[in-house]
Amino acid sequence: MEAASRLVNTLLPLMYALTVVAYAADFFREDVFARGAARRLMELTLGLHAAHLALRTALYDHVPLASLAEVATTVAFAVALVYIVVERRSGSPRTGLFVVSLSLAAQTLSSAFLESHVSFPPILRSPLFALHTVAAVIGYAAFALSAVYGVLYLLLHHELKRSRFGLVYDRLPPLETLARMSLGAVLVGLAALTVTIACGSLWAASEFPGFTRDPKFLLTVAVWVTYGIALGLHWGRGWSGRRTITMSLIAFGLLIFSMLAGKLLFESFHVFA
Amino acid sequence: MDLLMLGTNHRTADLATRERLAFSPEEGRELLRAIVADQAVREAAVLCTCNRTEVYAVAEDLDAAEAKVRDAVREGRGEDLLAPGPSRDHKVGADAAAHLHRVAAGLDSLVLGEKQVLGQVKEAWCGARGADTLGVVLDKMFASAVHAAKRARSETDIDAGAVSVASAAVALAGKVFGDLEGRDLVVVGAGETSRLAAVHFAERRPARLRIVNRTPERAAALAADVGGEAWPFERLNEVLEEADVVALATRSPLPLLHPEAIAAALRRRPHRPLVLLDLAVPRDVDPAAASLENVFLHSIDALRGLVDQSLARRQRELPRAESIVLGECGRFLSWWRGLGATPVVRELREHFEKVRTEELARSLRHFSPQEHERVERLTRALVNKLLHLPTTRLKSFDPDSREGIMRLDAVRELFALGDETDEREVDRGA
Repeated sequence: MEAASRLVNTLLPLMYALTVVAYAADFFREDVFARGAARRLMELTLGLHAAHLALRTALYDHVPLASLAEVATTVAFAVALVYIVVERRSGSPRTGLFVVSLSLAAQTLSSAFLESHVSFPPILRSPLFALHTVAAVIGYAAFALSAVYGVLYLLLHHELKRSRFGLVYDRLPPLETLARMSLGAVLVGLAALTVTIACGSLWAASEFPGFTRDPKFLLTVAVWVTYGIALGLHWGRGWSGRRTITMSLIAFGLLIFSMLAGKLLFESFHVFA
Repeated sequence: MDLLMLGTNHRTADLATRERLAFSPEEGRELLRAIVADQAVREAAVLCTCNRTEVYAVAEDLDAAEAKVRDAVREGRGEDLLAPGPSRDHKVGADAAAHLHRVAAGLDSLVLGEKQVLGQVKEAWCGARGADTLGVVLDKMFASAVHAAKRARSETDIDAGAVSVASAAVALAGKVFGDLEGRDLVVVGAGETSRLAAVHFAERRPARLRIVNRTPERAAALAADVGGEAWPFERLNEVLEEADVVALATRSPLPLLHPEAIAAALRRRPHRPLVLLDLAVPRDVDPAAASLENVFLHSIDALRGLVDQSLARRQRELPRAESIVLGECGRFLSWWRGLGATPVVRELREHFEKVRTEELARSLRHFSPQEHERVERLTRALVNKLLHLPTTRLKSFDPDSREGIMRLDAVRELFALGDETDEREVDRGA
């Protein structure tokens, strides 16, 4: 079973890469064959990815969220899963190239650094901690999706403002659709991050007194506040889509920084593996 | 049996000639009945669009068929509008079939890939059926042309993009809002360009469509035509507070909308984008308004650029669309060729069947009654297998080509097919 897990771990980035190539062929050349191939490859890759996560859970007796590499593969899966739902609902595969590229990047990172066995301290087996990690993965996936749609929104906005009608104008969904997707994903991410912070705080209060001074915790709260302000200004003060999305992209940058800084720059209790 | 196409179109005739040849649906049915009246023409259909009038006819003698079509048109219009000349388009056989296939796909249209013509081809098809002048050949040809057109549209980008300034305006607004249904749309001006924009807007079923013009009567007239409401010119700035899209096409020498007025209106409608489509020359909107947050301002040059881009894209798709259309036409022509060989194939099968039943009648007494059914099946299968290849080969050649005629004659000669028919007819006559 371990050999199968290693094989799937190697295969997954290749499958995501093939899917991205198919989506790229559809985006740049409007190739009908590529469109069909992309959809089938995406389904196949998602199936393989689900098997990968199930295998690791069965092998190591914990959900694959105990290390950065495990979180990365779970986020890659969640992003791809949400994307396929969006594609089915909108009937447009035109953003697949960008969203699945994100899954490819996360999965490549995970496959490169994934250890065959990750220790999972008994202290982390609390139900509150489980809810905390699951909510965090949902939140990260939603924010990542929001960032992709946000960048696409800004690209299209730029073309429309300058009356330029190139590939971006031709292929992307309408501006308001992209804004709805991006800000909708922020809303989901913000709700998930609220649960993440609340559960994490409740759990850490007993295990790690003084956690409120932890840099990772403070950065995560800063991310939450930044996203909250962006949405508040949009719906409360009538901020334009461009301004709101720019601010949410700043929040996403802060989120990435908080993930990496917690691991590489600061001494934090928030490192378990 | 051959095929004839006789007519005029935007490539061959000027508007005045095309106007004289335009037939209403009822006139078209009358024309078709007149064409097939004396049996010189077996089948007929007439295709009428704003850019073409074309009669398709199936007949044994194409010269007689042409004379009949011209007579029918002369009777209807009082002049021989389809007499040989530069304004007439005349095609026969495979060329006529290929022409209809290209027309249905919009490959012969004034605007490459235009969509309306497919509906008009379907109307011509139904019209011929309604006039009872549609036979097996034209029915199959129109079905094939419609199928080819649908394939060309779904498998290529031959109909992609906006190809008029008004449709480009709608496309641009759609790129911001997605769907214009339920939106607040405004047209400023009541001239020809404004009318086109209003018509395109009205087709999108907006929540509100307002026509603003200095002359209230003209605004009211256009509003009545498109199902909108007239709005006083003095209250132009007010519409900015509510509108999603404003198309402007007046002849004002000075801009009507300035950044200050637009910014003031935007403050009263937070976070809603405003699309301004300036179709006027000189411009109706101060270009400085383009820098305002949430305002998307496009000039007539931008819209024309979009149209040129769409046309260039359609032009690039032309070879692929042609290949699909001609492929489908080729399939129709193969079927048609097979149809020409059908009488010979039928006679050949009858001949073999006659031999089989005669021989069976002579020999069955040598078999037990239990074996009769088996022998019957065996001989039938044998005849079918023996005739399968010759039947396919006979149908694959154009029966009117030299080679096709030679092959059909050879089969008739080898199996004495015509003689048997003649003998039967002589017997019946006697």
